[in-house]
Amino acid sequence: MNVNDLPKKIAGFIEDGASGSFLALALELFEYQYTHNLPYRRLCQTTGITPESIVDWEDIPAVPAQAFRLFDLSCRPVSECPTVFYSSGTTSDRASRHWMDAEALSLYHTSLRFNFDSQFPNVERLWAVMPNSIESPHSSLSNMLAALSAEQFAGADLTVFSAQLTEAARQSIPITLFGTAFGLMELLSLSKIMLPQGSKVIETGGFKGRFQEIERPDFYDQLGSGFRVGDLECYAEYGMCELASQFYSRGVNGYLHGPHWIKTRCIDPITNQDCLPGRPGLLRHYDLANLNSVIAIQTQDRAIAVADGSFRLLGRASDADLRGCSLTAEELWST
Amino acid sequence: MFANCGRTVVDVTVVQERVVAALSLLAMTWLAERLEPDGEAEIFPNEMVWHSLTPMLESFAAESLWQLIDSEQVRGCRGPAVIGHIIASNTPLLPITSVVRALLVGGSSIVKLPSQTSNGWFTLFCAYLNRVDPEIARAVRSERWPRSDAAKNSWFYESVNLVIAYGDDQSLVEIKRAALAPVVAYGHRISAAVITSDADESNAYDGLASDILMYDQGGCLSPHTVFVEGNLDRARHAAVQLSAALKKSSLPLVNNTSERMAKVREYRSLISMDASALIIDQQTTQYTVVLHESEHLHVSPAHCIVYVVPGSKEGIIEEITNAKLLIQGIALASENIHSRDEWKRCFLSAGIEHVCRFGILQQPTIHWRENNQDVLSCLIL
Repeated sequence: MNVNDLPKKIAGFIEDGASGSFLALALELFEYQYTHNLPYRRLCQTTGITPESIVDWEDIPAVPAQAFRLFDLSCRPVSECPTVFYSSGTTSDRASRHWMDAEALSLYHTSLRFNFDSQFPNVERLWAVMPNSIESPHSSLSNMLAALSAEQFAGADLTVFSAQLTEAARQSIPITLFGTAFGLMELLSLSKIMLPQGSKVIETGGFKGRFQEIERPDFYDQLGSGFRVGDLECYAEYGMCELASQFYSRGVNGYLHGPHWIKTRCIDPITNQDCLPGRPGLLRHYDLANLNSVIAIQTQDRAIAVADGSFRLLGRASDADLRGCSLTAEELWST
Repeated sequence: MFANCGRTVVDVTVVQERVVAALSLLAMTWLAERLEPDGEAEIFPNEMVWHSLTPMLESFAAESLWQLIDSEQVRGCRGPAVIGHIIASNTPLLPITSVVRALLVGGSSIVKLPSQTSNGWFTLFCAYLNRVDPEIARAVRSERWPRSDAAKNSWFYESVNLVIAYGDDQSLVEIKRAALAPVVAYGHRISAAVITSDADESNAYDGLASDILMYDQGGCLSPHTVFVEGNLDRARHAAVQLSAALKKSSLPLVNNTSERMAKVREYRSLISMDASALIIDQQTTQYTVVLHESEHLHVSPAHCIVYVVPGSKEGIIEEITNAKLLIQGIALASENIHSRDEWKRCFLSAGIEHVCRFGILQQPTIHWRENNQDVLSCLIL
């Protein structure tokens, strides 16, 4: 295997799904990570799985997301990884750490750009209700919005951002407002902002069980009335610092869809196999864009999957730790 | 008799005599009839609970209760008129123990039961109490309400003169902040096991297996780490033996719910990635025996994950001494009586009193000095 070719081959597959196959790339990536990621290899050896012993991507062992808190899951020495993303909501010593060398970061950016552009073509103005990547250098979400060339970020003083957004909204150019659920609600608590026709709101992170949770339909109602956008112009993004790819859904009842370079299974914890159709299970992701860490991640996120690979998120397993991007904004703005 | 019975307070010794008589009769009746709650509604199998309940009820014999009262010098001492109990859900007999202690110092009880469980065993206890002495039974009131119910919480705290609270450390901090009366708090604790170099291992592991399996390792008397005096090879041998004993244990096991399985699989994967750890048997998910090189006390994340570690005698004692505020009890396998006494002395000097042989760690009586402190005199204000 020529390791140097792998990022290019994956990037090519991201840009053009016809150039290569998910299965072949997944197995190649697994072999690379099995060889270079020691904690991951230990897990594989426990289950008796080696790159030679499997032929399907579903057989690639999945690492619990929690492992990113306990181990440096990096194929390259972390000293050679200039970028590390931390999960939010925890102190850094307990946070998940996702290490990326230059190639992994480049692939991450390729992944998020192609995915976003295909989901949201023709976005002219992207505003981010979150700290920028200088204020939050270890936030994958802030890095992502920077990579997407967001023109404005919300700093610590949300009132300034609110005023700037109100001013920008007077122009007729649609705005795509991307923010954590908590951040968006904080913004709306300052004042309603009538976004121009054709604008969109993308929320991420949910409420993570903190403060006063509101039901999703109520939340979308408030987004719709607060920013003057219809339900179908409200989107959700599902991502995690351990994953280099994201999922998006449209409207309050929308299912989350991922791009062609990530596959997701809904696992029954009892059998450790795919759930029966329509039954809730735990999401297990296989992400080709996770170059430097691990391709397969077992989450504690409960969901119901449908045949096309999309899913509806139900929440987190009851005793799973609170985590996720919404807390970054919460920590920044809570008083 | 009790504060909420509308009677003039009488000599507390008379109250204690009546309570002791009632509890003694209750225990005899219950042990004879062996009524149990609907097993379907309970988290833990009934047979598992009887393993703990039987010795507990046996300790309600009149002579035993007077012995407890006198050992703590509370004969004739009246506790607070109304004692509030905030009960955790990890083991089913906790409310019984707590209420019995309150009754023995003449206190009425308001019990906040955990809302996630059916509390069938406590319901039966109250029914038996009502049968043997309805007036005493009226001194015990129990309810369930969510922690977020502020009005109910206020009523509870305003109604009681003392709070006995069980829970995780964060919950106890919140309770102490909210309480208007003194709080006797029982926070997060675990237990350990020790196999000394002279232990006859042939009979040791069956008992240890039941100590571990009880309440899905969720009680403070559940062993999380087994210290094996000796080298890694001896620890490996012990881990294999323990795994075999767990496999053939006759104790009924808790249901493998989706959430339980999800956590077990997650923890196992995490342990597999630790270079210092080895899971002994991957075939079952009801328990997990982990051989670990480090000589430290390991806290199980949940659900019958037990660590077996090697260590020198000095190292084991030092480790346990360092963790004394976390350790509730120790199961000890040691054949030589002098050696056993010496180990016990060491544990006692570390402040750990509850030391017993394998198999009875999870069978505390009403005499059990929880958190190594008096259980009745601490209720006398």
